[in-house]
Amino acid sequence: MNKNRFKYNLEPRYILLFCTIILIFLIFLSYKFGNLIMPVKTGINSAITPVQKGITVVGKYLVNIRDNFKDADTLRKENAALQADYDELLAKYNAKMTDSYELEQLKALFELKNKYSDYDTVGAHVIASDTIGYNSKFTIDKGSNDGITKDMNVIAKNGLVGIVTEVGSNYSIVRSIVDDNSYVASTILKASDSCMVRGDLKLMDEGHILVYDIPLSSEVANNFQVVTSKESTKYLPNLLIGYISNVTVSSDGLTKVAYLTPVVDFARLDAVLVITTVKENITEE
Amino acid sequence: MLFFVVYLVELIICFLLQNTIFAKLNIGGIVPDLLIVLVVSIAYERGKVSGLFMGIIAGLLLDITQGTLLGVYALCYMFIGYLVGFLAKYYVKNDTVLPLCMLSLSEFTFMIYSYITGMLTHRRFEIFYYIKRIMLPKVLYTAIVGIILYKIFDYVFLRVITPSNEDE
Repeated sequence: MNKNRFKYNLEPRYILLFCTIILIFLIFLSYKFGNLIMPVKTGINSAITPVQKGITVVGKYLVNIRDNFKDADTLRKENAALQADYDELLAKYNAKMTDSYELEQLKALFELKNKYSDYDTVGAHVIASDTIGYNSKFTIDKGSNDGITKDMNVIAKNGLVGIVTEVGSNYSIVRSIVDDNSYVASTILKASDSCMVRGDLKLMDEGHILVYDIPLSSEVANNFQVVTSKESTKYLPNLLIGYISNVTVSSDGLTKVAYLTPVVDFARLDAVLVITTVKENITEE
Repeated sequence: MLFFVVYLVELIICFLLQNTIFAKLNIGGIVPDLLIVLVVSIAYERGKVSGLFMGIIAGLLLDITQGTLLGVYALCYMFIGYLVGFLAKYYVKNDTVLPLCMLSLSEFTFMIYSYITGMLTHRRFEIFYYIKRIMLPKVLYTAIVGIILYKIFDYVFLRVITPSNEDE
């Protein structure tokens, strides 16, 4: 009976043609009138959010189990390798002790300067992430009901994570600073030079993202701190992003480029803070 | 109507698992694509038109939650569902080779497609790096998870959907 009911009068290729036209029209529509379609999008996402939240709890449990297995396998090998490293490093450590004392003191000073306590924050948990593979975006479990709006900055307890790009009633989507589409106007502390921090998924495999447009005259060196710049249009000033390494002169010879190691561990991101102050509000005051 | 409900439940389960548990259990940032497993298996079992519609629905779901423009992923999933549907006449019970080949090929096509459409905003051109680092691992992970999932879908298809059609 079902078969009879589903005997199509139309040829399948006409259905294909028809649907293709509809979808292309839909793409065009959402490109041209994105705001009109947004309520549909956020509505469906809001409905999914509570379920995702529940399942993520199970997911975390599974991750723990997986990590345990991994630990057991590699622990013995690691132990042998670490013992050798330890002896070598102990010798080096003693030598570096004097230098690092000075560095620690300077770092502490900078940390005081970078206090985030001036800003009001909302805590949130990561409940889903991008699954296609080319982006570094994730969904958090707080939305406009909790006072979150687009372009709010997101930090973890030690540094900048990203920016809110889409908000629904009970969820928001955050684009992290390691995403290929992320550009942050920044300042290098100590050298006080302006630069741009660009997300790069390829470099992120080695744990870095890219810093470029550093003036050629800059005296930037390894381990300098990079914070968000006052000139940035969307990011609040003085949020710590990470530490500089591997400074080189760019291929055109006009600027310097460097790697930046983010302070946030993006592989294990779970709890984040959303700063409820938006950049524009500050400049108005 | 039963098959409709069953497929809807399968779709929701796949989508939620992919977005939450498998997103947490990612290997080097790679998450298996469970939705394409569903599209391929339905197209292979039921033919072009079913594959086409499942492709649109699954694709739209992905567009809504992760895409920037509505319909971009749906377009690709629709064509995958339609094309795999051509092989429905070669459907054999308990076969894994053909669906596995279809699945890998479909996933690779989808990854190339999403790479190209992503390029409009990405400005990253090292395609061989992306093939090596993202596409191939994703195809492999999807194939491994997918073949288990396909067995389940096939079981449901043979035990739940087919008998109910015959009864009526």
